[in-house]
Amino acid sequence: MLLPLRFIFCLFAWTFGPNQVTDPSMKSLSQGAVQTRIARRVYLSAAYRDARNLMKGHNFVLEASVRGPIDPGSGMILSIQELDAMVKSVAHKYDHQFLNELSEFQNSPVSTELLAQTCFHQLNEKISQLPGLTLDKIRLFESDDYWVDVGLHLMPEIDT
Amino acid sequence: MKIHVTRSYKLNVAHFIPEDYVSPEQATLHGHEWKVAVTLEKSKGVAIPNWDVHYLDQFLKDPLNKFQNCILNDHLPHGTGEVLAQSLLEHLKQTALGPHIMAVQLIETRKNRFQGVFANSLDKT
Repeated sequence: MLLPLRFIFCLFAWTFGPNQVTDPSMKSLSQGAVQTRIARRVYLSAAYRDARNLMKGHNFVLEASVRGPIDPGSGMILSIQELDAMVKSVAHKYDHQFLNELSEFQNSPVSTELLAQTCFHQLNEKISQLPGLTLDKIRLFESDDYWVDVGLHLMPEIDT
Repeated sequence: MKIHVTRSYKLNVAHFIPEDYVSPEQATLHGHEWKVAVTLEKSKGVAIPNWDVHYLDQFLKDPLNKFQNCILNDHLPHGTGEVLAQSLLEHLKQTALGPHIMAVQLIETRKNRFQGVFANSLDKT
C-alpha cells in the first residue's frame, strides 16, 4: 500500500528536487570540474598542564589544507614556500613552549582542541587574504593515533 | 645466532635543558611523547626464564610510571634525553633481565633519538 506512494514521492523529489542544476557546485561537478587542495605538515613540541592538572608533553603535527584554483601561470594553488612560511609562522609560536604560560591560554584550559582552534583562526586570517584560497581544514595530531580537525565546513572523511 | 627483540613504550614527559648548554627555545619548558624502545639479546642456547614479550613490561612499569606526566628535571639532573636513557638502562640492568638487556633507545622527536647501549654488548658485536 505504501510502496506506490513512496515511488510517486521519489519521482516528485527527483523532478523538482533542489539540486537539479540550480546548485552551481553540483553543476560544475557534473561537468567534470574538480576541486584541488594542498596540505603541509609542520612539527612542534610543547608541554602543557591539562584540566586534570596532569603534565603533558607532545610532539604535535600541524597539518593545514588549503583549497583553491590552480594558477595557470605557475600550475600551483600556492607555492610551497609561501604555505610553509605561513603554517610555520603559526606553529613556531607554540614550538618548545609551555602552553599554559602563553597569552592565548591565560583565561582558558589548554587542550589539543583549543590549540587547534587558535591555530585555525590565525592561519585562516592569513590564507583568506589570498584571493580565491580558503583554509579547508587544520588537523592537529597529538600523537599518531589521536588528532583534532578544525574547519568551517568539515566534510565527512572518506579518504582515510 | 643471536636474536634482538625490541619492545617499545610511550612516555609523556615535559622537560627543559639548562640554558648554558643550548639554544633559548630548548631552555623553555616543553614536552614530547617519548618512545622508549628496549632491546633484548637472545642468544641461542641461553634461555630467558619466564620469557614472553609481556615479561619485560613489569620491569619497566615502575620507572615509566615515575616519569609519566612529570617534569623530567624534577627527577633527573639536567633533564636531558641522554640522562633519561641512561637511567632507564641502569634500572633495567639491575633487574632479573639485566644480563639480556642490550640497549635502550629513547626517541624524542622525528629527528632526535638517544641510545644507551650496554658496554658489553658493544664488545660482542
